[in-house]
Amino acid sequence: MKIQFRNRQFALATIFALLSVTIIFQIIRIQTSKEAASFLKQGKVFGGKLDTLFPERGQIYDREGNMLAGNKTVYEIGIDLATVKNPNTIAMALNVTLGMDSQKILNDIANPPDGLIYMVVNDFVPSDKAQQLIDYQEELRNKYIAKGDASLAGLGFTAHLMRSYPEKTLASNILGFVTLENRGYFGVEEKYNDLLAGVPVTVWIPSDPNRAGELPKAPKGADLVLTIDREIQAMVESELQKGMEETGSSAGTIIIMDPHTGGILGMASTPQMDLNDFSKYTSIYKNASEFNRAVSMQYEPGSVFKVLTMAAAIDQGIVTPQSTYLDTGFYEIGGAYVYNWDQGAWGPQDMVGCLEHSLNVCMARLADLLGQDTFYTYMRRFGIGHPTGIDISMEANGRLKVPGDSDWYKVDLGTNSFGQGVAVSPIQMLTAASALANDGKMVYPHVLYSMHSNGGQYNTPTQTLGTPISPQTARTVSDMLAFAMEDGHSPAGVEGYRMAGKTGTAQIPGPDGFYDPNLTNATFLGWGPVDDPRFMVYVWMDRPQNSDWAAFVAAPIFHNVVEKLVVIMGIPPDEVRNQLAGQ
Amino acid sequence: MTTLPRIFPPTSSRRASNAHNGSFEWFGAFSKVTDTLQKYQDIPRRFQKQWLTTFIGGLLFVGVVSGIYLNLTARAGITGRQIQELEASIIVNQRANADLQTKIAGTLSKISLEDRAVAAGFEPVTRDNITYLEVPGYFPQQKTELFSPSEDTRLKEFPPQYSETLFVWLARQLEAASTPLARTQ
Repeated sequence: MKIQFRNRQFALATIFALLSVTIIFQIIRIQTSKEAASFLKQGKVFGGKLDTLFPERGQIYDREGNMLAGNKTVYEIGIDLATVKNPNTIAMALNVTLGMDSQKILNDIANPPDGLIYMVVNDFVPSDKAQQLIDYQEELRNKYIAKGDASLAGLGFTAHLMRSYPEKTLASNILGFVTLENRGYFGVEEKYNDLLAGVPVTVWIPSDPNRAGELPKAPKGADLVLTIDREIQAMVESELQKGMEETGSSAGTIIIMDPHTGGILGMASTPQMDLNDFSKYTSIYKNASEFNRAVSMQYEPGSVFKVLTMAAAIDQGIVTPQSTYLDTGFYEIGGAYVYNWDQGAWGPQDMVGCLEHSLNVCMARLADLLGQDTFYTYMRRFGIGHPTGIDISMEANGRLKVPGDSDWYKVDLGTNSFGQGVAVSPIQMLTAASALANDGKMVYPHVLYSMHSNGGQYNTPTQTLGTPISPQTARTVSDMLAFAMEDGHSPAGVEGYRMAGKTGTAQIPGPDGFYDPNLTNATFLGWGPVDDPRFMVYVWMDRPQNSDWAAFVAAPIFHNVVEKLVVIMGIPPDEVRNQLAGQ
Repeated sequence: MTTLPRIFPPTSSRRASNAHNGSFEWFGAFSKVTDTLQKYQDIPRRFQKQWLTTFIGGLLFVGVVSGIYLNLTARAGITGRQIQELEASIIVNQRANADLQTKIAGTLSKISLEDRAVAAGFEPVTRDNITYLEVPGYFPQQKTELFSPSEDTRLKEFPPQYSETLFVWLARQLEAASTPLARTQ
């Protein structure tokens, strides 16, 4: 009996042992077989996916927190070829909703490229259109199950973000735009592209839930707050448009800057474009420098340049506001004669009269008295001929011929003194003049107020580009200009506010290099209130038709801008301000 | 003492024959098993019981540990899957938030607000119809802060990387590299 049990025990043990050996053998065989390598490879492929994560592009706000550039959801639409049930329905739906060629879609579905399992048929589809298709797909899915009817099975939707500009054309020249490849062009979008776009991360995303903690993050790009004030920007753009219509100018620019910080409060340039429809860029602009004339276009500024010559002369102590001279109507310099704008002789004049009547002869004489070395040293200190470094892309360098250059002649000293033969961009001229409105300190112009990233706010500090003149000189020239505006009853003046300003009319050289007598640039540069400047305004109208003179073209626009600006900025008239200050 | 019947030739003779026939190898393993069983049968019953108890105890321990391990890994797997789903939801929500923020900005855009204000009968204020009053204790906001103050929100200047020149950066790096390391104990 015992032997019988033992035999059974032995038989059972043998069977289990055989089974164990077989299992172990199979395990080893499967692990080391040829197919194992291919299964292992497949396992790795389906164990996750290699993907590039594009961070959300940072938003752009004005100084009051109004969004100027954001992101909106759009869809990529594709077809999963393996799950398509009714190609005709898909082709028709895409044709009706998105206006796509149905025959082409049918052909693509019927004859896909080798190895293709998912075919992208459209991208950047607006969310409302995509939602129509999604709803229709759902509706048909239910019908298909119920009746075996038409189906949109296989149509796939992948949502992603795209740049959007809620204010459309507002501040378009400052902002620039972003293409479908998520790259910024022009303005802030280009200048701060790396900050806004963030850093795309190409990573392996495991599908293993035990490795969920390894899911990579692509932090959002930095948000930017600009120094621009939306109200001021809209007002400036509106006034520029009105000015363009009234003067018949071919183009125009207005800049408003805080003279103490260099922050740009508003900057308008024509023409403008709806940034949401950036494909129209080529039909609106002939060349890139037209996108933002305030920064990218250089021109001969004319008489507004005289404020720099006068500042240099006063700073050097060569003249005082009361210094007089006899204006004979011409001045010989470098073997050539310089004449006044009206070809007239203005007789005895002091330096205030020199600025008030914008006398070229006076300026040429001052430059001659300064001497070429001193004059050009001052101009270099004012930053003429060098970019200001403003944080907007494509800034023009300007051009200042200096002694030693092959195309510089002595007469250039005379013509440069009143803003001819020298090329500046509006922002360059405004930056140079900021020394006059800011106690001799020239400020770095900028549009970035602050950057927000990783929960921190990084403010742009005020930077001084230099101190070309003394505070005393700055205040003296400001007073001279203010007196000249008051005495001359300038159309730029605004009742109740004492402001300093200067007109500038410059002829434009033609293709042959000679000045065209019929084409002019009209400019007005001013700031106020004189005792505590809160704003600087620069107006440049290109080739006006109603008049050749800046006093009739640019000065009234300056007036209109300042009238509204003081309301928006809440600047009381001088009398009220002084009363309040005295309390 | 009982013995199992010997149905196979001795191990040494089988090994010799395996050298000539590879397919006979598994019989060697089987023979080892029978040898082990034979030895097991040879030892006293008391020790047999001890071995069996130890083996079953060990098996039970491994089973319990494996069960706990499986339970934990299963729960970790479920939690991992939930994390993945939440991450996906976060991405969808972030996209929806960005979309809605832009839509709100469009509704509150300058043109839109102006149109609504005009339709409601408002007119832009002009310089002539403003009266300035002193309001004691009122200080207008001077700075824009998009973040509400919290421990995580720090107002900082730009880090030097954003403003310094290449040479300044190089000098800073050299200075940092040449600075002796802090003494450690």
